[in-house]
Amino acid sequence: MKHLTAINRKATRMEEVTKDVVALQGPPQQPEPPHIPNGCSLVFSPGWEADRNGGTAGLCQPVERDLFDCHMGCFWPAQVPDQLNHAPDWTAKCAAAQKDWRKIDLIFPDEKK
Amino acid sequence: MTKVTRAMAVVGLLLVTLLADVAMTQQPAAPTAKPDEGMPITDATVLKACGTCHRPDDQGQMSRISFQRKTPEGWQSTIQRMAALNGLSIDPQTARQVVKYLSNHLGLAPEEAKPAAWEAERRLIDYKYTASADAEFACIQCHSMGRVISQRRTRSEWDLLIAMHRGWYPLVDNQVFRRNGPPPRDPLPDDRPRDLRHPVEKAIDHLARTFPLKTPEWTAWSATMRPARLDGTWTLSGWDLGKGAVYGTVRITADPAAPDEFTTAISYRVARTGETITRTGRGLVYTGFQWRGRSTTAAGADSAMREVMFVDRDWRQIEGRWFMGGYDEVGLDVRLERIHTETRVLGTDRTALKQGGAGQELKIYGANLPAGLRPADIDLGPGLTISRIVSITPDVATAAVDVAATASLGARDLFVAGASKPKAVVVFDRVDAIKVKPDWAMARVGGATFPKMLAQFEAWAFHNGADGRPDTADDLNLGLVDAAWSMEEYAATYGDDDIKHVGTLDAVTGRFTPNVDGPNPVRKGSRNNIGDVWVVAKYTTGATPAATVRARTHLLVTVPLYMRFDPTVGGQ
Repeated sequence: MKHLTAINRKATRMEEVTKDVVALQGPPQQPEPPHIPNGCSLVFSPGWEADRNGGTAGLCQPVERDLFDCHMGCFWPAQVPDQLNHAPDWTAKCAAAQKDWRKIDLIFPDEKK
Repeated sequence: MTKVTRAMAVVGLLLVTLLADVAMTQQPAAPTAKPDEGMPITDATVLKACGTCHRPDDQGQMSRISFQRKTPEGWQSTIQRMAALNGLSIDPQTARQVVKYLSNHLGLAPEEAKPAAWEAERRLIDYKYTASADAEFACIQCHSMGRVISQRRTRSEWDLLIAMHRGWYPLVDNQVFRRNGPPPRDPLPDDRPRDLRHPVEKAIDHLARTFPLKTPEWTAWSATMRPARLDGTWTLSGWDLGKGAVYGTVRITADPAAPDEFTTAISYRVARTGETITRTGRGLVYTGFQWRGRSTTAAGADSAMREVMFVDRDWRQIEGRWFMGGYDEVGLDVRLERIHTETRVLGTDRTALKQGGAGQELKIYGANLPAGLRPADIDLGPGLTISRIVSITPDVATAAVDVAATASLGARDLFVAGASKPKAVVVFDRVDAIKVKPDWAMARVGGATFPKMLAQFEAWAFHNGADGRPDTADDLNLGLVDAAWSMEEYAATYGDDDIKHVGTLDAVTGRFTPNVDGPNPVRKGSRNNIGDVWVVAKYTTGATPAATVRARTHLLVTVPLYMRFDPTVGGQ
């Protein structure tokens, strides 16, 4: 950036980022496939844990905003309990998931069973 | 999920429903297994617990059950699904008996289980299934491929598995099983006919051919399988991420009433610090080789670690992972080796000795080290002299080592009273660089409703080797060093403020603890406390003049899982 002068707002904002700008400095060719940890879901775009660039910038945020719809639509079968079969009462205690997200049950299997 | 994709999903669901209706009218009923394809079940507990729905035929084959083989985790998952969705009522003791019987009689052979060991060991790894891109595509969109390759089924059973997915997860056809849009019409370059089957059809064909119910491996293993006789003393060599090598012993005692159940008394030291840990536990061995255990320290249940290990078929080595944490992310890699009265060297507290340094103390961990150990009994190779034995116990000897100024740089094998440890220490003259391990890491916010998923980092020192260039084959790995830890912004977007919110990194231990889950009203759009950061290690090398080297790795701090899809099996 030392040899360039910002001439618009976008360029000025880039200058404000003093550290290395990973995404913005990427080469023009197709980048390496992102690292996606094993077991993470990539289903559709964005994924659950990571976006298509292997980061969190593109995730649906906050996750609670879309949670109820994910639950109703059975959209994330391995990440969010679905209302159709597995957890029909999952959100019963919540008037609104955005507001009462703390009340949502955690349905990890009970090891004592 | 955006509104557009949501709308597409709804339309897709309608289409799938319509297509399914059409399919039901056009296709015969779900395929059923041939009578002689399965494996008979003779256990009264299984017959009673499962037989109401899975009625045995005249050959003792129970529908569905007799036509698949799985790990203990796989069978537990099945029972949990039966209880959650199919109205099964079963008490824990009966369920344990069913898991044990099915794992032993419809389990995997060692050769079949080993490639998927990381699944049961709950490792966060990169894994690429190369045998079929279609099978990988169809499976890993939602769950780990380890879940798939740790099962064996008849072709009919693989078909029914797909039917089960379609029944429980009605979007799955539109999401992944079927090709979206019209089939490609352009011909292949060499005029071969294009395979126009849907991804799931190609995947099932591959899985049925690659992972059939009956295999030579299982036939051979089930013929020789027996309870492993593990009673005795075993040396323990392990790696505790962040702390480094650990060495000690495990005393395994068989339960007289049950040949495949054991109690354990574990004692080990962290090599670099000398910290001693003692644990007691219980374990049981499924299918003659799959150890599943649980152990605790005196601190009680909060210290419980689950143990997943593989017993070698010669009963002389046991390898695996012990783990704990909200996502099984904290733990040790361990290897047990049976020992009697022979002397054994396990490792050393430091793995690098400075060229030209006199009187450098080296702790040698082992088993049955002789009480009368003399300096002459320890051989570290050319240029290294043992000046005296500082102290000696049966499991650790401390020796003072002089390293000649002319000693060649490089690794040295260690011999102690007839026992040996290859490449135990490295002679070095300076630290050229450090690297942060692991190469990447993931943490999940938690603490309010969900557990936190922690991340642990280590700094390793390296010498550039004879060629003087980094990252070449002759680099010398000098082992763990105590680095100073900090975080830096991984600027993936404008105004990236992740570093303020994702959590804290211990400056000394390198352990990252994520922030609390839930929306954060301080952040733009009430984002969760998720984000991307660099984890940076800095190390002052001790050279003259002092030099500081640094290295970094990418840490992804992300959202919780709202359900756990991968159950684990613990000891009783």
